[in-house]
Amino acid sequence: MLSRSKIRFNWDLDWGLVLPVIILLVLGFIMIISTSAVVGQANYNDAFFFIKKHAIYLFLGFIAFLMGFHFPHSFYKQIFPYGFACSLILLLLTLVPGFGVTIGGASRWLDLVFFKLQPVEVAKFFVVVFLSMSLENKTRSLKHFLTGCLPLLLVVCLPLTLLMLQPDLGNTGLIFLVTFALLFISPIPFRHLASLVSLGVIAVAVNIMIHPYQMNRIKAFMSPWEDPLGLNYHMVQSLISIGSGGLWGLGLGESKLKFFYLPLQYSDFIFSILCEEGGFILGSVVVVLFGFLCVRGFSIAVGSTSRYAYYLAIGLTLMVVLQAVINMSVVSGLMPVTGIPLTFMSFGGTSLITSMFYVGVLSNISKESK
Amino acid sequence: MKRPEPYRHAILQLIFLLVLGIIIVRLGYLQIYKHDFFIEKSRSQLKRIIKLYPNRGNILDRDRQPLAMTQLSYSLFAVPPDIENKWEFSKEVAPYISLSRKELSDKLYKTQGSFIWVERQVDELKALELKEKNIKGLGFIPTEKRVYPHGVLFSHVLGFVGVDNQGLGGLEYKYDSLLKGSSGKIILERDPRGFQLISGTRKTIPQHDGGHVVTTLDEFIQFSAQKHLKESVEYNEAAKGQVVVINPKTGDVLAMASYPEFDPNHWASVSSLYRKNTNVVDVFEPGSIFKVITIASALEEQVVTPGEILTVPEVLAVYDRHISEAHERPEDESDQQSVSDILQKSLNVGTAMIAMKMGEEKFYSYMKYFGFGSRTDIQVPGESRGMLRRVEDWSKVDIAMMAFGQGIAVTSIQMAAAIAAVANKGIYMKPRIVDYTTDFNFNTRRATPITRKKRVIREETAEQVINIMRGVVSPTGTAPYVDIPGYDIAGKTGTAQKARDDGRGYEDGKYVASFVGFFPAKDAEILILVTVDSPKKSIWGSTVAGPVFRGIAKDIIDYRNMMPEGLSF
Repeated sequence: MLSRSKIRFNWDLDWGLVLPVIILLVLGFIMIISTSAVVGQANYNDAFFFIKKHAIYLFLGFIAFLMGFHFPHSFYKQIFPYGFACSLILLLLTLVPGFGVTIGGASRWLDLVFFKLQPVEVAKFFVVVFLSMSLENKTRSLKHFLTGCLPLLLVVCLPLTLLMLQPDLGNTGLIFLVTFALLFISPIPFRHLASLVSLGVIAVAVNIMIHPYQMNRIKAFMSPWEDPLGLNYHMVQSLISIGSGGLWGLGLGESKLKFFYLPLQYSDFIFSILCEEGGFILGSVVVVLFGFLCVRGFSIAVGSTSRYAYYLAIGLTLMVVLQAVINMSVVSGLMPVTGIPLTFMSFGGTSLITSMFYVGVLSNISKESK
Repeated sequence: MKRPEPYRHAILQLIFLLVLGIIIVRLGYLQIYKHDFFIEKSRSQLKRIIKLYPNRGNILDRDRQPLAMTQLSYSLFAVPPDIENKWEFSKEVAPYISLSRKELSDKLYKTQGSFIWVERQVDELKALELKEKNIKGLGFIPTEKRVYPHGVLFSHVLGFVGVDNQGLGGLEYKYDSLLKGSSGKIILERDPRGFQLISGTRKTIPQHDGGHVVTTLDEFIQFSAQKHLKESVEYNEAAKGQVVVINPKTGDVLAMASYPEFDPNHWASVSSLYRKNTNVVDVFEPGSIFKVITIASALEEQVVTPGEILTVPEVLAVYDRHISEAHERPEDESDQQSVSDILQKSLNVGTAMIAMKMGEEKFYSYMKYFGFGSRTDIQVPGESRGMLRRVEDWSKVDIAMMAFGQGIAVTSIQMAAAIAAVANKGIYMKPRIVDYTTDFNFNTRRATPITRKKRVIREETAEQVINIMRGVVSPTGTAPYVDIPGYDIAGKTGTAQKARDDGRGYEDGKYVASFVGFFPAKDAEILILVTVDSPKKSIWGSTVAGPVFRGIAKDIIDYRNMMPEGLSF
């Protein structure tokens, strides 16, 4: 037990990291007010239904941030075995009928009464911790595929397999890409990376074979105007929403598509409504803010004190930024539709809280390096 | 901390910044380059147009009693894919509509579509009863149904409307654009569920309800005319008949009746032959009633005077034709006849002689003055101009024939208006059937003027003719039993041979019996022209058409409380 006197808060915040996040959180909150009121009113007879919930998530996220900020990042090395095991069990539980909550054919949530936990968010963090630890320890053995790359991949495949069973192609891809990126910046030989790429291709192919709806989404992505009221409805409505915003946007609260034309207007497609109301200007501001986050995250990594911290910082930065990149690419029609929320902005409890926790951990790494 | 692989680190960061850059370019492409395309897409999926249907205006009689009006009704449609059992559906619905259960279910089984009319314009009460049953697959659209509260009465004048309430005949057709008004619309932004957007725009173009047409017709007189006409046509087994009642002072048509009749509420089941307004559409050779025009013209030209005695032979040879009387002359009657006698006894030979005395050119121009050969431009559609050949085209015998109404074809309204000019002391009034039109709220009026078209003959001449016509209903005239004692009535009978439809001569044994009369003769308020085509029991104007005139006249006298002559309080 730590006695009270030994806790010493160090408020040395990395504003270059935190400020873009605050702006994104504020913009997100405004957009949730704008978009969720109509849905809340229509479905729950309470215009503030989602807004109130989101405020609670923001508060929980703030606590998560503080935790990430104050726990030394080496702490996660110590709890890794428990954490990783725990996240695997949680992922398994989602597949057990009775525990898992199935929405739209996918069992991605655990019902914790007061809120729905998405175990993948926990798993993501420990995958990054695992890779950071391993890459720090195995600097030498990385040259050999059997002792270096392969064991790493086998471990990462555990949560990925469970994810594909849910199924959750978006997060599978996200974890896969982050893993690939971390290996890419490690001294691993390029030919080993090639094997990783082929593994990824096989995984995607298998996934599509198991879940035919994924193929439809890809078809829809290739030719969105072919079936604008059926398969491609989401895509087409998202494009109309973004496109009708123009340079300056229709004005705050003036979106037309948010009135039930665009589904999930307060979560996965919040960026479309932001582009409709705030135009190209506000849309670009959001993209640039994620750019700042990316740059800042990388420089925190460079300034860190250990290889573990370096990989951890890069991994968490990518988790945050890559998720945003995928979301924005999807809604603007650069990628097939996949259910990934926009970091810091979309309505969605677990994602928001863990993202803020990541920012806390990054701030902690930044603080330690000084 | 030194980067383990500085180049790879830089490349990774670059890739991320590049991808973010691509997203910005993509946004620019969608939001700036393709903005117009998407804003149009957005607007078109938001836009919803609600059509506002105007109310159709009424047609009213001179006392603003509705002759044609609209009632709320419902059009029933079925959505066949929603019907669970078409046979059961038909059983439920059939009692409320004109189709039988079998007909309806056949219709439902045959269709491939997802929309089919079950019945248009179902009465409000029936529709509401059906609505309460909540039958799956049955839908209701509120519409207007045109109703004619007087049924067959006025049918030929009013015309009728189609299923979409478009005027198809009579005044309904003539005044369709006024009656139907113009539709409006609401353009609003709605969500996919059909609700209007809270923050959406809304633009309303209001509909304009149709205006009303106020006619000069009188419900009571029309009723009386229809009744007496029907009795005569049926009793005499005639092909058809028609009556025009007109006020000579104003030209207002008070009644316009045709028989056979039809019910405009169910017009589709009646042959189009019976739906035409024979008073303005059909032409006939007027026969003896036309002698009034001949004598009036001759008196006006002072070719003869009323008391002038002419020697009238029984048969008159005009070139290659022999003109004779319809009745054989009684043994004791001399061939010395006054001009008055010629008209009162309706002598063909005498009238022909008078016309020939006047000459072709003059006779022709008087016929033109009286309005023959041109339309009266009364406000009902389909009016004929009749047939009056130009004087250059006449043969030598034509003037003699026309003098007693053969070789000329007229419409009922033309004939009535011409005689009305005599009754109105020589002034021809343009006949009118529409008093005024007004907007839906009766705020503005657009009147049809009472038009004093021209003086045709002098007042003294008119009085001379009226005086002679009084004699027609006197004991020595051709129609003594038409007289109503105590009332000052002037009239003229007509029994014309019926011209063949192909224009070659006359049909054997077929006649057009007619009677025209007006009262009070010295200051006429009512003129009635009755024509009965091809009566079989009796053929004479006096016995077939005369009683119709008398019946209507008596009704009007009672209805208007007209005082007998010489009686005053």
